[in-house]
Amino acid sequence: MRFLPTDEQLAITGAVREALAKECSPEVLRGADDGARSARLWTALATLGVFGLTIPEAHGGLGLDQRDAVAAFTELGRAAVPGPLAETFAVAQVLARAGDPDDWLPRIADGSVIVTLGLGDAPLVEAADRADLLLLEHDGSLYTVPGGEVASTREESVDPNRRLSSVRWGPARATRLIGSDDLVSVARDHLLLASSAFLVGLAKQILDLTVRHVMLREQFGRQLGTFQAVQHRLADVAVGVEFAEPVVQRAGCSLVAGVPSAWRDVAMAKVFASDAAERAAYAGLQLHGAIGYTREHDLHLYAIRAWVLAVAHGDASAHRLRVADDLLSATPAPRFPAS
Amino acid sequence: VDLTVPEEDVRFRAEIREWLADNKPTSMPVLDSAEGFAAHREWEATLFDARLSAVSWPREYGGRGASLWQWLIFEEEYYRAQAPVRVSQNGLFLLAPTLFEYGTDEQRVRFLARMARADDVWAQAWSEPGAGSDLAALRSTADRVDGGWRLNGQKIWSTRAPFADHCFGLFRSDRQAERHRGLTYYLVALDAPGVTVRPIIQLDGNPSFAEIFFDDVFVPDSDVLGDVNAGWKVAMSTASSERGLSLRSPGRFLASADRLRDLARNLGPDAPPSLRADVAQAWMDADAYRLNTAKSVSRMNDGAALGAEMSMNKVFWSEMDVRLHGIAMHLLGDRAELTLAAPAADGTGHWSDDWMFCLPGTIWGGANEIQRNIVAERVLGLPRGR
Repeated sequence: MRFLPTDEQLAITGAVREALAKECSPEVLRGADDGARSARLWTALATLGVFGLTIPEAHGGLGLDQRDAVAAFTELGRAAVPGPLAETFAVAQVLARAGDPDDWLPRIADGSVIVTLGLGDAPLVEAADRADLLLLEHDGSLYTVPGGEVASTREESVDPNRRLSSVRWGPARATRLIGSDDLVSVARDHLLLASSAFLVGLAKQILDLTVRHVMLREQFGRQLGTFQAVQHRLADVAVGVEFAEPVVQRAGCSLVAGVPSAWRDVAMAKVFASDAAERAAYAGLQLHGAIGYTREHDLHLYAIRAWVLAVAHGDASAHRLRVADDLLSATPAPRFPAS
Repeated sequence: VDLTVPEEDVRFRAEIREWLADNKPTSMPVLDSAEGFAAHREWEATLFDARLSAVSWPREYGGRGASLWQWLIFEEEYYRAQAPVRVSQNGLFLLAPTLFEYGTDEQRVRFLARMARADDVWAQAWSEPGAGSDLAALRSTADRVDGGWRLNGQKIWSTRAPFADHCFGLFRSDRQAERHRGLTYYLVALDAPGVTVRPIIQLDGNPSFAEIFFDDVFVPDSDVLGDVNAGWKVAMSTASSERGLSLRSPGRFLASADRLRDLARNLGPDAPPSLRADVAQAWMDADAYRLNTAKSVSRMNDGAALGAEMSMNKVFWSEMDVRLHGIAMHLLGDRAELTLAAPAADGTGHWSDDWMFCLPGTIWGGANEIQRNIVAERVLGLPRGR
């Protein structure tokens, strides 16, 4: 029992952070979302091992687990890397459990293909128009659909770095995936886990930016950071992040251990991460003042993503009710680890 | 990150659960009365004799040398069993860590085992009428005399002091020194000549507070804890225990959260839907607190000292506690105000007590406003506020 990052996880954190400072700097995020930018970024992420992190070594990956993925996704969030990242992670987890028909995993690991995921009815799917493979939910099952064979319409997001399409289920070369687990749940849990870690990273970035701003900015002849109202608002953001991160890390452990509470622990991760990131983004905007309400300042690159991801894939309220349904049922899953 | 529980800790939990089931008293008088104190002292002695009063202490002082993980397990089981409130808790959780860090061997031998058996019950003597959150403003004095010190002044909000045997606190031993400097940490017998204890009735109707008057009270040199004029540093180790791990282990909140869940579940369809989400959030908050504690314990096991991040802990648990009990009051509605003595309370009368109990958590140990200042300045690195 040691609830702290391992040396390997610290190494992942350091390597991803360092690489992304260059490959996904604010300038890169401000650049046009053309093919060249995303190809360059995709190659850099593949080289870092981000896509293959949890793919088994036999399929060309690094063979690490969901706990390591949490470390990586926290840093991806800190840099607000454009997707489909959580989707790729979830798709790889599903394919690995379905025996990887058609050998997609090695190509996901080396970044030579783009895959994405759509859950629920008429989902908004990230990068659906560029994907080589989509996993779509239909009638309670997951299907693989080759890219270019889905009926999709590009949709504009308030976040220029989100490339969304609405996808309709229709006649296409769809193949139902079969595995020993409930693959829709596998997809949802991993999408939520990665999104939660990403949100924690965004919250950390926004907190850092805002602390820096209130140290530099002076009004009434003193640094903003000396005002107690400012200090207390930031202290609350810090508390939110401090308590969200272990919840997300635990959810990773729960998925690795395959305990009955795993889905609930993931839902709880999304509750805490969404709340922490949303709180950070509102505080960040407020404390930056007018400059924060511009696209000249970097804050928006992170704050807008925090707002949209906090409510995507089920907001805190929706997942809180999922947790409530379990807790108030006749047989709630026991806490993990046992208490 | 690894959350695998070792087999020996699983066995430890089973042992504690079984022992508590076999030995826990079925009913206890209210703590803050002469009769209640006697009964609770007796229970502490039973715990001590089973080496369960302070499991993480070394064996030579009556503990088991248990790991911090096992201490957390003990706490979880203790609160799950709804075992009696610990009359010795101020000594165990606030003074003992300081004695281990700053005390002499002679002091540890003289005080620790008797503290853990509740032969001696300790009260804290921090606040003064003019020094609450601003503790360094304290004015009670200590003057050098032959073989020791003579204390004068007034302390207030001393929990357990009306029935306790000893107190620990800071006095100004160098009147020329400013604020944090010139303070010394003293251990004082409450039956020493010159000590007067006046009970104060708390919000819940019990005389759990007292003010303590010191009129030329003699304290021997052997009852100074740490160095003379170094009391602030010594006391701050106690304060960080108070804010952080020791006094508020997750066990209490996990047990309260489970009881809240049971309360909502028992109401069935009568539980308002909006409160279901609140119940879930309170339950999750307790779980999140446990996970954050696991992180802190892991850091301590790695040899790190806990610092200003303990202020985040204090903000979190104290506000979570008030929310959790507030939700219970809302669930109970018309019956929320009923006490244990009300026939219509039907097993829920403890909630009004528990709710009253949690309210001062955001005040003691340094009010949460001060904690947020500490987070801003010492965790986030912001400039000193004004």
